Amino acid sequence: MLSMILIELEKIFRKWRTYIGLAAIIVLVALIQTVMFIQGDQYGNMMLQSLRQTFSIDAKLINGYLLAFLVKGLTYVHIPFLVTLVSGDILAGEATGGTIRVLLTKPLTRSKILLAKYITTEIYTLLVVATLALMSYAVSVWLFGPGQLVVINSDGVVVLAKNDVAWRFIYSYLYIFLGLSTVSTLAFFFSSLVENALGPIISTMAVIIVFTALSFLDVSSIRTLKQFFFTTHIAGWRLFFDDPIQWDSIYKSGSILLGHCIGLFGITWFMFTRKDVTT
Amino acid sequence: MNTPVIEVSNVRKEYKGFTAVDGINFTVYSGDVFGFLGPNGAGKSTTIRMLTSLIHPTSGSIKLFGKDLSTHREEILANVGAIVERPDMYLYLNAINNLELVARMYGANSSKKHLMSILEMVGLAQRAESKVKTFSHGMKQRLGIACTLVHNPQLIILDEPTTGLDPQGMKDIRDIILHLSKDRGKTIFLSSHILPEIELTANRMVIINRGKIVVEGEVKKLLNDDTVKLMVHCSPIETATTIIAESNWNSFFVDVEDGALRFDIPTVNVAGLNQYLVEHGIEVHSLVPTRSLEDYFLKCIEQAEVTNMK
Repeated sequence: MLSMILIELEKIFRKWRTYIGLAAIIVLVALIQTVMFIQGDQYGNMMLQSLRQTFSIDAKLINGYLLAFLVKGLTYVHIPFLVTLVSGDILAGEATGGTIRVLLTKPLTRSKILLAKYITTEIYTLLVVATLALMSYAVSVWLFGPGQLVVINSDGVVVLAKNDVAWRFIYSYLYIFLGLSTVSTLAFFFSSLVENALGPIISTMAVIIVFTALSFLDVSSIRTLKQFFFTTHIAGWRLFFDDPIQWDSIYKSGSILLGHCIGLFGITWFMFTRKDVTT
Repeated sequence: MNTPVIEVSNVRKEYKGFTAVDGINFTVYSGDVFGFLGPNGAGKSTTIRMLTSLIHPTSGSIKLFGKDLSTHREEILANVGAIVERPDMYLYLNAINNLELVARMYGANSSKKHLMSILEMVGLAQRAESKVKTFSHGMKQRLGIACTLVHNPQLIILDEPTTGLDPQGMKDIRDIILHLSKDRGKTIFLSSHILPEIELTANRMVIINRGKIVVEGEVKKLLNDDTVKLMVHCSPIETATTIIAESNWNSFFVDVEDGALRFDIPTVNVAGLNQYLVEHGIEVHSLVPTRSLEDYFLKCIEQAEVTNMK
């Protein structure tokens, strides 16, 4: 199995498409950091104008922590798209190139091949999250320094002390990994169905957009359903910045995302191990 | 005594409302170069996909090396090298990297020395470091064959390996197949829709048409018994026509086509016809036998239908 995972990793890292996602994160975050570096105070004052009328805030608000927090907003659409570049291609790309036949005529069970490919996509997803963490957290803190983190959530304003932030970021990045894994598992599922890598990428993004749009509809029938949409829970990393933290909500959201991963991989496995390869 | 390497019994493959393979039976023995002949859409690729477990038969049994493919898949495939449909490779890798990847998938020797010796054998050693996307179709075919050899399998399955190649490319592939069979003792299952290709390489063959086996046997015996279309270029052609009309050879004579006499004649009688014409003062310039797969098929199918009627 390890040998197969290494082979799969070698295959994806020999494709230039794999580096697009990582490069895009670096460029996007660097761009945000540059803008904030130049016009950060102006932006901070504008953002906190109303707060200053109510609270007496004398701390430096635009700091590395706030920037890292804001950058995480990219995980709604932008970074899921980048993740699908690899997970959507990993099976469909083999079908397009015909190499799926090369692969499946080897003395390896289909389950083993599928699992090796899935683990490879998850390693890539982890690498995407690690790049995001490195760029958004480590580089931002290095550039702007640490400080109090002022977060506005649905319950109001939360001010987190400087020494109470780092661990929240670590947990939130792990949670983001779970959210992006759900996206990559969905793209992996679509990838097992088609013979063109573009299909899984478009289908996954379509699902994200449609489900997100449905979540905004305040209709009773959807209200019940939307609590099970994975898109509802992708933003669950924000829960780590509540005070006090609602651990029950985090466990619930995390379980729904994990359930999606297991369910989607299960369906993929069931279909892939039984299907006739006619490409 | 030769041992069976492939045993296909009553294998059937149905897709929605369509039977691609209809209860076929055949056996390939150790050391055979086994020709699997049929026109496009006859069921060749479907059969090869079933032999390599890419698709599952609807019914019937496939045994390789005496073991059931459905229950001993990994064990069997460890001893099989196959090109199914096309020799598809990872185009972004070079030739030796492709070979190395395949060798690692088999858990076989992936040392550069071993891989280079295989590339040497298929005539690609000079292009070992070239990316496969720069390869011609013929080179890809040769690399595909190299990939089937990295783990030194007993059985090699090649699906139309000369399709799309120029005459030199076809000869190169034929030479490799004959080398693998004669010098390395491999059993080769070779599918094709080109009869001469099978005639030049295989010792046994089956013909499949519309999912059914039409003919099975030794290539030499099957083809020597066959009637060929013979074009006789001779002069004077009018005299030759008169002489033929007055002789027993007239029963094989069809017509004058493109300035030549056309006969449908058993191959064993060709020499006799030539002698007869020469003895009667006809200058014979050439005798060109043509035996298209289509003609051979039609004959086989006609015979099968006659047998069924009886």
